[in-house]
Amino acid sequence: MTTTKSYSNGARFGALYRSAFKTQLPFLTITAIAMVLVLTLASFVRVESMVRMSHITELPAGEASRLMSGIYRFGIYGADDSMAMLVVLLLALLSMLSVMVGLNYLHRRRTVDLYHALPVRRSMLLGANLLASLTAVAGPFVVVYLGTALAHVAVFGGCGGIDARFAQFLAVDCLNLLVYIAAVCVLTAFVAVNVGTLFDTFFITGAMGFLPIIAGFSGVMVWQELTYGAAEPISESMLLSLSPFLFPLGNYALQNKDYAADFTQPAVVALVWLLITALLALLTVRLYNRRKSEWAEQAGSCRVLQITTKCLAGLCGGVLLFFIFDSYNYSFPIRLLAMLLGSLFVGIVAEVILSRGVRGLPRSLVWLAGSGVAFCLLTMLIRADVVGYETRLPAPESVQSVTVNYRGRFESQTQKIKYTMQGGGYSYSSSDSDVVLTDPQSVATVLDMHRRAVEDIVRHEDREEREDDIAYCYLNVSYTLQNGKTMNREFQTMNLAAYQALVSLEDKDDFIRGSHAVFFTQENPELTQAEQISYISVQDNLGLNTAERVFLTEQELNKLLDAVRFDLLDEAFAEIVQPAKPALGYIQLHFKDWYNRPTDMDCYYSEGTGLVLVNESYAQTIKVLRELELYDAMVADPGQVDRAYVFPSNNITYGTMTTLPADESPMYEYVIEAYRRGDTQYLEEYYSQEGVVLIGEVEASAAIQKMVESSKSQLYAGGGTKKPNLDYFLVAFASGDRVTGYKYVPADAIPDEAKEVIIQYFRQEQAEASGQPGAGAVVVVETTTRSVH
Amino acid sequence: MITATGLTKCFDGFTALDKFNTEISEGSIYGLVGSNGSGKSTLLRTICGIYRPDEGEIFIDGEKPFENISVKNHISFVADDLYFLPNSTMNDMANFLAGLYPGFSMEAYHTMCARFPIEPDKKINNFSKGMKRQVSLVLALACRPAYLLLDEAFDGLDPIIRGALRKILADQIAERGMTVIIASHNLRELEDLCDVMGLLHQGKIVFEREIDEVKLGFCKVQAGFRQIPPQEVLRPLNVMQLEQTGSVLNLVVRGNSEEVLRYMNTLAPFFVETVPLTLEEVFIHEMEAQGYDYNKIIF
Repeated sequence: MTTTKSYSNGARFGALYRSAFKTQLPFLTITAIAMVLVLTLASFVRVESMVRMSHITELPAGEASRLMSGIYRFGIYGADDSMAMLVVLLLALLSMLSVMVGLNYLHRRRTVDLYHALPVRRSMLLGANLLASLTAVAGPFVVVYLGTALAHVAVFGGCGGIDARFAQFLAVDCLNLLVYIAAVCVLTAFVAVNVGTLFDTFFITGAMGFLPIIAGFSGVMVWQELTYGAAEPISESMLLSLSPFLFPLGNYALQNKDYAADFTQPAVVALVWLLITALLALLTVRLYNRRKSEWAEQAGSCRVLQITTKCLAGLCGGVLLFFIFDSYNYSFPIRLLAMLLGSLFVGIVAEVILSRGVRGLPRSLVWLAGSGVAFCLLTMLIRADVVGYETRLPAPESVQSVTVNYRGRFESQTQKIKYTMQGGGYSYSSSDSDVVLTDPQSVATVLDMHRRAVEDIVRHEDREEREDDIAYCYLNVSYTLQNGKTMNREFQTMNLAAYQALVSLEDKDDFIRGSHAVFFTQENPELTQAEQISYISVQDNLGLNTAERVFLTEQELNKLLDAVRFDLLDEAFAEIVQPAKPALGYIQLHFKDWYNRPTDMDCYYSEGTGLVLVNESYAQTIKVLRELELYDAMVADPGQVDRAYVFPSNNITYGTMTTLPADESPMYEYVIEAYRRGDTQYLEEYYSQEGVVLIGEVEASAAIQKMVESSKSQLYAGGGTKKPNLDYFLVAFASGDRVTGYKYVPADAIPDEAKEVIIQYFRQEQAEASGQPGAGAVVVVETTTRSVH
Repeated sequence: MITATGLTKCFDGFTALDKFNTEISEGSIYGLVGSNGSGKSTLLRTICGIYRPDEGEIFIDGEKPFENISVKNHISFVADDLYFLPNSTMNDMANFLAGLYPGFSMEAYHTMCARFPIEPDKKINNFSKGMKRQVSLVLALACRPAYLLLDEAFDGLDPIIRGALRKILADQIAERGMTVIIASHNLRELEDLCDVMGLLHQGKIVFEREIDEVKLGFCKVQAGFRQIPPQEVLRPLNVMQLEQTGSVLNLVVRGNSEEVLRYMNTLAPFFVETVPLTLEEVFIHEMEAQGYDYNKIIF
């Protein structure tokens, strides 16, 4: 009797699937165990540690439960949790290995004999094996993931159960990772059906997964390195999204954005990859139908994949060597040659690995040399700026507004560093240093800077030669044009004259409003409000007197803010650049701790972002300070300064700068302490690498008084060159054992003996830089001017 | 009916099948012989749809086998290098194949299991080479194929099992008209089993004849002469090999032994006798005729 059965496609698929799934059972087990360890246990440990944090208890009940739910702390959104990254990488590795094992029958002659002789279509064979792999990895992942989410809700009572938002989060997060697993599986299958060995599958899948992203990064790096003013052509998260192995990590790159409120990008990325995966799966089936069974156990069976892998590997090698030579400031032709050689070398290594020998090398050399030359030509085209990117400037009338990250004299002290609370207890911080300029004069100033910069471009290899003429500025400029388009530029260096052109922005109202955003709530309604400010502090210019933790009523605070706003806008440009009136001191706003913020506020400032330097021209502010009986804190007796420490180095600062209170920039306390102890070994050991040089201590009161009087908070637009501008030097003033303030003091106010040592120091530095004989190690501390009378 | 026309299959510059032509009729046992690399295994793999021909065509009952389920449903292939699912038992393999081959008969499977000394619930990994071969043959036969392709199928089997298999094959051919193609180097096996034999050399069929015709088409002649006749007189015979030892001539002649004997008697020998060639001798002589020098290889 012959057994009668229904031999539908479904029945056959079932038979194949059951057989394939048995071979995948180890992967199912490993995935389940791995996910429990890196997802369930890790997230519980994380939430437990959060619960132990004292401030949790201060949260309102709903807030605390949201935070404690910890659901945002694992999975793809666990951006600040290294375990989340491990989850992603483990899923990729397991998916890849699982498919390699499932489709290994393609790579052995005897297994191919069995499977390809079976009365089933190849598409069915591939589908059954692929589905078995997907089930083995995705199955336990989904179970553990959802189980963990439910366990969090059950244990910590997070989110008040599963609400719509929580469900939305779970859906997007889960979809993202499921698509990720599918993408890695299908990519591995695609490679497996096109090559003859397991090793080739592993090597080429890895290459296909990682090399495009490395090549992409390499291209971006070369573009940005060689093109003056090149803005990032593609965001980090988008670049990561291009790789099947890394696209979930693109979400990590989003952590500085407001993604917790919007799942659009991860959802779109997931859907795009789903589409790509589906198309790749169809292509894989098509190619599998054409695959020759005799490819089994043959290395180098698919030339297209092999050549692509070798050329991409060559590109990476070329770019790597290019940047190695770049770091040593070699000329462009040398760097180009290095790129060619690096490309050839790595390409040859890839050839030898993929072909298991050198037999195919002569034929591959043609491809490798061709691709290497192509990379070099492309690099030359970028360098030659054939599209005119570097020198392109928008017409002034076409610019609607321009956004710069230049903040003038206060630099980071007025940055909008803010914490944002989102639903689900997630918070993130971001520093927003952008200033939006709409005044045509302000726009013209930025365009003037831009024009000057591109007329005299400072290239990478020119930096050493033009050391004294360079501003290391890290300046981002974004023009919003009338037609709605934007034009972005990023400058890491520029000629000093161009950078100094920006100084005139200090006189523009829109710049003042933007760079002191915390004082201008009309323009920034979501920002500073009196109820967010916990207290203020007032300090004199030398840091001798401080009125700290001054709590004001809302009325008093608004009155003070109004006065500061008025005086900031009223301040004369000349007084900023070359103050005739002495600086009095600082007012600093202190914001409430994030957990004590008003419950309806999502965004607020951190400490230190509301700082203003008050001089005698700030009449309104002074008046209010007097009314509040805080003015006395700004009156200092310079006689209290009994020591001064002179530093020739001001290279820690970039851009324009003015003097800052000591507690805002506690720069060299440790250096000074070590100096006082006479611990030169400590200084050599810890500070010589940073180029921090203390010239000496000044004790003479007359010399100190001269320096104090000269430190009028002049605006210094030196741009932070590596070799400091010799017009100003950094001086730390101290009273007793306490360093009270750092000031930039004009060279003519520095005692002659100290100046001699400074000059000697620079001579020695120059000798070292030029490699002349006799140049010794960096002199960290020079004590010859210990006492100057 | 299997029909191959101009079948060509190349592997990385090596031509395994070179414009190969054949017709294998149903219900026969076709023996494929040939030197190593002559294309025997390639032909079997092409017939069962593992390989796609580079050129030419092959038809099984009028249909191409590659990616053709309706054809593959009726073909079982036992490769020379056997593979079973990892950690599987014979029963596991049977269940697997039962889900794929519509003709798979569990009854036939159990019957054959009883006839062979194999434990079907033991892991195949632990079986000897001969036992694995038995497993593969039992499973292939349980699929009840119309075409059974065996590549060195009897390698490693003891004489008793070989006898049993011969019996089963004969039964199934008689019962269902199954066609069997056996590729082997063991010509002695084929001699007893096959109806037709095809000799492959360098991807081409050298000759293809019914086994009786092969055996009767060659003979070895030994004749003693008082005076050795000149070689010209032997021209009417299709002499493939000639050796002289004293007054005795040893000849291998292509042709009917009776006709050869009749002619030799006309040369007045003091004695003459003919002996039929074994298949192995035929194979070697034919291969030598094709320029294949065994002496160079073996000695």
